[in-house]
Amino acid sequence: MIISLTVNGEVRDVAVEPHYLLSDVLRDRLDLTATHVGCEQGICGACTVLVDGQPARACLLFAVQMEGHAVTTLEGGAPSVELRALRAAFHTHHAQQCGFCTPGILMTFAAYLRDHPDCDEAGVRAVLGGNLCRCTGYGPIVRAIMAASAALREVADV
Amino acid sequence: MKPAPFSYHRLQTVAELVGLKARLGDAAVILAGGQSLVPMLTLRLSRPEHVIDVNDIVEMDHILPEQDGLRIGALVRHQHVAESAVVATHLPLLRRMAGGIGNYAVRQRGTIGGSLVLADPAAHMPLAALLFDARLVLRSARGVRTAAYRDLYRSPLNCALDAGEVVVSVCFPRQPEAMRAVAEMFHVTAGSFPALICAVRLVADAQGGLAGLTIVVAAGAVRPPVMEGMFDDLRGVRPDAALRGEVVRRVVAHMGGLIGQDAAGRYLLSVLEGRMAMCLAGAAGDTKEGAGA
Repeated sequence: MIISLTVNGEVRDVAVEPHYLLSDVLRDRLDLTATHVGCEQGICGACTVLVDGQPARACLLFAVQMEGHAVTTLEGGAPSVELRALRAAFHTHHAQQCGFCTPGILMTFAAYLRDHPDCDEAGVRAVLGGNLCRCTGYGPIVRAIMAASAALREVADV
Repeated sequence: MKPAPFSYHRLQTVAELVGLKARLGDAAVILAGGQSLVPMLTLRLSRPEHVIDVNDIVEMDHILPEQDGLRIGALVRHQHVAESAVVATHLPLLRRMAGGIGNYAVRQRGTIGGSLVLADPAAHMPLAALLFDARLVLRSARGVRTAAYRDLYRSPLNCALDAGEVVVSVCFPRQPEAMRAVAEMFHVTAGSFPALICAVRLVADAQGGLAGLTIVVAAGAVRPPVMEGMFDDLRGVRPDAALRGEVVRRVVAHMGGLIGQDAAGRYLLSVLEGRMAMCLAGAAGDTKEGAGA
């Protein structure tokens, strides 16, 4: 069957079978390889994308379900202000080690910081529990997210 | 592994859903949030011929305060419950438990109806539904009926719906003013199912004595037992430290008989003893939500 997927603001027609996972269709059919596939069981969070603006595991969705919904991956044409702040802070704080988990973390927190502008570190750590970093470098990641959050508040205050 | 091929059906109304479920029977599974079903399909633990996607059925996505309680549509996401001001007013414990499910991304998709039907013995929503004696509204081609979740939940992963039945909503009964409910969730790793949840629902009489006590414990992969009648002899007694100690002893003894006394069981029971005491202290004290997560 051919479905129309809205990915990063662009409508893409793609031939799929109903049992194709969104994560596979993004990577293998649409060449959007920023969405990483780790456990394929919803545990690791590497494949997290935004569906209608909210984080979701791409490996726990069938591509066919996404007709009529907006999917955003890390490649997203116009990155949100949250995503830009996170990227800058990850760079400054060396929050990226091997980089495998990074896309999922960036997508998760792009939504979380947007919806929780006054978040604290405990809240950030609780949410980060949904994204596994095999390098175990959570310290810099937490610091980067907190820095991005602070930077966003500064922008909002101006 | 990848899911095996299936036929996909995307429906817009409960009427369509009931009709299709009647026609396809057990050859079809219902896909709501998919946070448990899709891993099962990917691991090929389940290989249905048909998958019915109910995510568009907006008539099952509502939280309504009603005369006799709180009605939550089957398609309501856990994050919606966790952030709902209505739930916070009527059942603050339910709101807190919803916020402890899985992780942020999983809560955006997972649904209360899906969780209740799956009946995972370690899950939050089934435990809350058992604690508050929630009723499910079930639809089939034969009509509508309501049934107590305590009766439907027979054994782990076995919520005994009749053939062709679907869950439309869940109703949590209105609680008395003097009710306090507290739960403790014990996670070994963040985002995983908790190894232990214990929950207390305590109703006080006008003198501050026990008018009702319900305790539900999820541990050790058994169907969470609802402990209620075993406290009948404590009615009217003030829930002071001595009484709470007695309740803890009874609960630990009861759970010991269910989950066994091997090393893992003994460890869980030792955790249960401490957490149960915290729950009871919270329920007997002034804080409505009690101790932390």
